[in-house]
Amino acid sequence: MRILTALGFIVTALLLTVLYYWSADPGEPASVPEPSLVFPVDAAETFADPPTEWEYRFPADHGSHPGQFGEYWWLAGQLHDDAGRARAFQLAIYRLALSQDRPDTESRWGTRDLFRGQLLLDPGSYDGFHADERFGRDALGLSGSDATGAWIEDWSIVHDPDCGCFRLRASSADVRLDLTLHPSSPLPVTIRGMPGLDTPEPGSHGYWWPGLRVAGEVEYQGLSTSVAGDALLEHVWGRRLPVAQGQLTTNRLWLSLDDGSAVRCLQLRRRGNGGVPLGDCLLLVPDAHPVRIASRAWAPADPLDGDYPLRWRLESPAHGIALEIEAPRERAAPGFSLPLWSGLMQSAGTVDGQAVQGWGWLELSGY
Amino acid sequence: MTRFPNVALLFGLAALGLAACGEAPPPAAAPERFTIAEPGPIPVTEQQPGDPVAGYRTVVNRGYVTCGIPYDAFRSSGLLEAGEPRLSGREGRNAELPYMFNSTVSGEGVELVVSNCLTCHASEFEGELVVGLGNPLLDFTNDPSVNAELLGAFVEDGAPAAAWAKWADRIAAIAPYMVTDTVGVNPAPNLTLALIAHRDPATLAWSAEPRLEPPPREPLPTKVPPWWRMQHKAAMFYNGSGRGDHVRYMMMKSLVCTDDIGEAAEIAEWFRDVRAYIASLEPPAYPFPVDEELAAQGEKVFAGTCAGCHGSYGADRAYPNLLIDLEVVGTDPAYARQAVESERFVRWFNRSFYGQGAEAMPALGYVAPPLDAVWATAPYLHNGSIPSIAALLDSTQRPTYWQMDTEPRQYDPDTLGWRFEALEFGKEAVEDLQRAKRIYDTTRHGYGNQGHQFGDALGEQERSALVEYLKTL
Ligand code: HEC
Ligand code: HEC
Repeated sequence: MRILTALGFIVTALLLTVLYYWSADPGEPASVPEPSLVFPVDAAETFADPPTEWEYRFPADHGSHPGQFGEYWWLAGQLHDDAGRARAFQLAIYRLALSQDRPDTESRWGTRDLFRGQLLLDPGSYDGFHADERFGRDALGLSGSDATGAWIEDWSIVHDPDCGCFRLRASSADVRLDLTLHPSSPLPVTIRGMPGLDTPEPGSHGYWWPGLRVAGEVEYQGLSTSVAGDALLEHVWGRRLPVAQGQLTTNRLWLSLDDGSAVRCLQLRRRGNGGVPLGDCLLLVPDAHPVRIASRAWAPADPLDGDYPLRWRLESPAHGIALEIEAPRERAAPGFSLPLWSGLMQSAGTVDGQAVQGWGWLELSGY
Repeated sequence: MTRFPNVALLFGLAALGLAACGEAPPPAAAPERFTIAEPGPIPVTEQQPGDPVAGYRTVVNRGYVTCGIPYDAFRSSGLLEAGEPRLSGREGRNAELPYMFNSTVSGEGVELVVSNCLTCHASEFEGELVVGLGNPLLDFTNDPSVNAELLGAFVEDGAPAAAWAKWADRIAAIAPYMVTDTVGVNPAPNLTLALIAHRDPATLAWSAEPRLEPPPREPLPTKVPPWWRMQHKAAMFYNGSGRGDHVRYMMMKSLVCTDDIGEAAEIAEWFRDVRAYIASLEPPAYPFPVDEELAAQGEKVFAGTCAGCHGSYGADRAYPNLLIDLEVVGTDPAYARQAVESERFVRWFNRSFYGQGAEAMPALGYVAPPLDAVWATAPYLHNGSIPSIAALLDSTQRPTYWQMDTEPRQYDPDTLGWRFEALEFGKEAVEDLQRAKRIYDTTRHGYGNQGHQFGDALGEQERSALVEYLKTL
């Protein structure tokens, strides 16, 4: 447990290093200070671990959890426009707290929360994709989070209680997204901590909501089209959020399959091959409780060689699952301040003996 | 009372002398020895001489486990705070480590933190860390490979990464054989067998896949015996299977990482002193008042009922080193039987480096141990199934289900055990897994609290006199 606490701290300190780097004056030299300089060493420590069990309340839990050290809202989906063109997107907003209370000073540390956002649009063609990253802090009012969700300037993910739906808005140089996302199931799947770690204190709570029906508009390179499709949301809060570190990579996969089933995997895996992958996968079949699949079931199709592995297999005979998962085409990492690969995947194989296919999203870090 | 959150990590190992069910295919030509010992006196073998002072220095300073956690990762993960109190005689870097870790440097020059014997063989009594007293609070209910792997998050690239990976791989190999379902019981014998399964007896080379059929996944429960018994015991372990040169058994913790004979021979050299140290340890004195008169009455009861097996103490001290037939002692037979029922680990041991000068010899019985400072060693019997001496001596007082009070842990001088709560139900009745893990359930395989009813025929008064007498040992 102590290790986990420490791990959570280091992980968040790493994120903070990045955030600090950004929040320093633009003209400052590009040396990243030690985490302990960045941030009062015990800043994460002033936040208790979240309770062992979370009493979920919706829609309140769609909004921000200011008592929690860190939090993220993460949306990705696959869309088709009028002309049948595929477009895939991702918008994630991360929040990290600097202190429990909002300081009343006007200094640049007059900030309670720091934000980081990442936006990806995959236009479904070989001529590139769009990636943008943003930072914000609540001090200036331009970024923030509240009972409905979070925003960084004009990037936002919020829940609208009137329609019971989520709204995503984001624009950047070549891209503008304006989407409404309607759940197709009454409640999301709750996620307690980093699965597979056998600890009484989970470190985080949250939920995963696959099967959101999307409608709206996407503008890309000046061309605006109305789109429809399928998306998933993940929203997690707590003191320990999954980020790669040291010898461990973090690997995350979400699948949405055409038989209505969905998969979510979170895995820590040795960068140098070998070892016991930690974490697990959840399989959600319509009208059933989610089933946990041990992390070993999900592995790169080829030995790791230092590059991001973009071909994977999910194989669990006990669950009748055999899926091949791969990126539709070679694509470079988006070049964010946190080194990671994030993008659309396609998947085919069998679930419960039946042939299935679908789309998915893969996010890798620590390679 | 300090409780150690993550023994999962601090794994270690100790004993040989038991094994899996199921038949081991005997190797074609099997010159190695396999003997099942008969009940009765265990012959005393002369032990190698050694320097006890040097032995203690080795126990608390040296890397006899040669793989572990790179120091930098150990520090940045917060493990430095994993345990107090500190020990005397710690040199250099050792002085800053929690007592159950030693410092060493790998062949590749990586500074490592490695586990030592005191993970299991040291425990607090009345606020003091007693070296040699088995720890009855260790929690082996979590998969240790998870934390071993997670530590990788703090490890730098290059030689530290390779050092960490070797250690984490070893933990992963034995993890399935060392997860218990009850806090406090110790899986050391089973995890030792799991290590043996991966090694070539001739060269000690490690193979990723087991070479022998591994032991059963569910370890039988054992308690950790106090070291000071070794002043008198002719053979190590509950079933007396550790016969011949004790050095070779005491150094078996090196089975985790030592992959060649050269390294093993060096450790065996050090362990001549460790053996001498362990055999020189004196039991602690009872820290509470004793009713001398009552104790004197108890001495007579002891002489009549108990001394035949456990020996006599005081001026005319005599210890008969008796291996008692299972039928006679009647305690849970699973541990002794398992050792006898499969030969492959015993054969491996006897023909390996570890078997030079030693011969592991399982038996269908248990040794009647020396009872020096037995009041400190609760819970009782080889499987720790009986929480107090009062209950050991009156079988009607033995709880079927019980749970040690740990917040805080409290010693009860009337019963000679840690205070506990007797329960009406076992693990199955409890939904909360964390709670269930704390329940000792004597109806489970290997966890039985039957037998050793030698106190039942005594009167109430005789029993309390006997309890008083045991305080003086
Ligand atoms: C993981 C816990 C653990 C560690 C670490 C450990 N032991 Fe043990 N040890 C045990 C257990 C459990 C037994 C009882 C096994 C039996 O008697 O069958 C035991 C038995 C012994 C005995 C025999 C005592 C007797 O009365 O027969 C000696 C001596 C011993 N250990 C020495 C050591 C030394 C020396 C080390 C370090 C090099 C060590 N042990 C490390 C758990 C451990
Ligand atoms: C026939 C031989 C025999 C007699 C008589 C006998 N014992 Fe034992 N005793 C044993 C054996 C064998 C064990 C170990 C059993 C086991 O661990 O399963 C043992 C274990 C014990 C233990 C537990 C030690 C520990 O640390 O777990 C105590 C205490 C003890 N005996 C006290 C007594 C007392 C007091 C008497 C007299 C009333 C007595 N014994 C009579 C054979 C005997």
